[in-house]
Amino acid sequence: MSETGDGDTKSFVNIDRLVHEPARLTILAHLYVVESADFLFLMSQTDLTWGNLSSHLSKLEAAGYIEIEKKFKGKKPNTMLKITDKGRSALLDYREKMKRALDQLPE
Amino acid sequence: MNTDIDLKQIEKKAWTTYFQDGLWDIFIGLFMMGGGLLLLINILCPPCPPSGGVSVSGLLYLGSNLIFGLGVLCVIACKRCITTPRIGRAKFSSARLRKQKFIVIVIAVLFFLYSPALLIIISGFLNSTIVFEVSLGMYVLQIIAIFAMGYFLDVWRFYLYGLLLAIAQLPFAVNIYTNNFPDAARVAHSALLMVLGSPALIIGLVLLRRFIRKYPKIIDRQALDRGVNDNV
Repeated sequence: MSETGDGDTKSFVNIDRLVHEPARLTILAHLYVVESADFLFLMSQTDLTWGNLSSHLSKLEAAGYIEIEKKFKGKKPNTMLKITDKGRSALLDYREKMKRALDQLPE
Repeated sequence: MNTDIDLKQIEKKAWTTYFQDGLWDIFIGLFMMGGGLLLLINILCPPCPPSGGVSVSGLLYLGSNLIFGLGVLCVIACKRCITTPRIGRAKFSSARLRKQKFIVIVIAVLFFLYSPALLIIISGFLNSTIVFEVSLGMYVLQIIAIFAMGYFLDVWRFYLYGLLLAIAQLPFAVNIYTNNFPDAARVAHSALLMVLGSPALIIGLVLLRRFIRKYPKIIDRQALDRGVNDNV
């Protein structure tokens, strides 16, 4: 696919690659549907390993798509992950673009 | 690649994971079977003996409300010990939480309606028809509660249990309207409750075994949290 592709292929070029990666897409989708979740919840829902999940979360946090709330429940640390407004719109935008691009493909 | 990210489906799957542990199924199964056993004890040893006072079965009847309440607390405690350490915590939408609160209210109403109803049943002051009608009202409430759990918690299995409970109570309802309560029909009623309660118990145990295998317990939760903090 050409980087300078025009017409229909432009939709593919403009896809957010950070969201496009399947593991990150799954993480964002899960955080989108809940208000917040902890690390273990994401691990159980996405079937990602600890290390894998951590590295994807750091990329998403660096992009400002998720935020991490560090709290204490008594003396125990309780880390909750939350999707940001930027992350929400990135996911919806990604969905829209993919739908539009693939809908235009011939049968 | 499927371009349609079904967010509703993802949310539903995430929500229902909390009910794949089979704990409520086990509770409903034991509740039905325990109810059947209680009826059987009641037939063998009437709650209000002709000599007066309250018999052991009468005390059991009164205690059943406490057992029900303890059972609910036990499920909640097991959820904290078994479910949360395995699948983690998530805060769902306010719509989900509202539905969950509604279920808590239904269970609380059932609990608080039970006490006066049980007192009416074993007091012996009222005639048997009224006692049986109060019992029927309680059974109807139980069925509604289980259907409400199915609807509001989005777990279809509970509809099946509600249906099984309704079938188990059918002979009792028929007996009321024919005004005929032979011991054989009462024994059949208790047996039916025990038999039709067993699928819920079996499904619950199978689900619990599967859940424990699928989601092994992560011993060091603090290390998990540290993992997030270190990597992010």
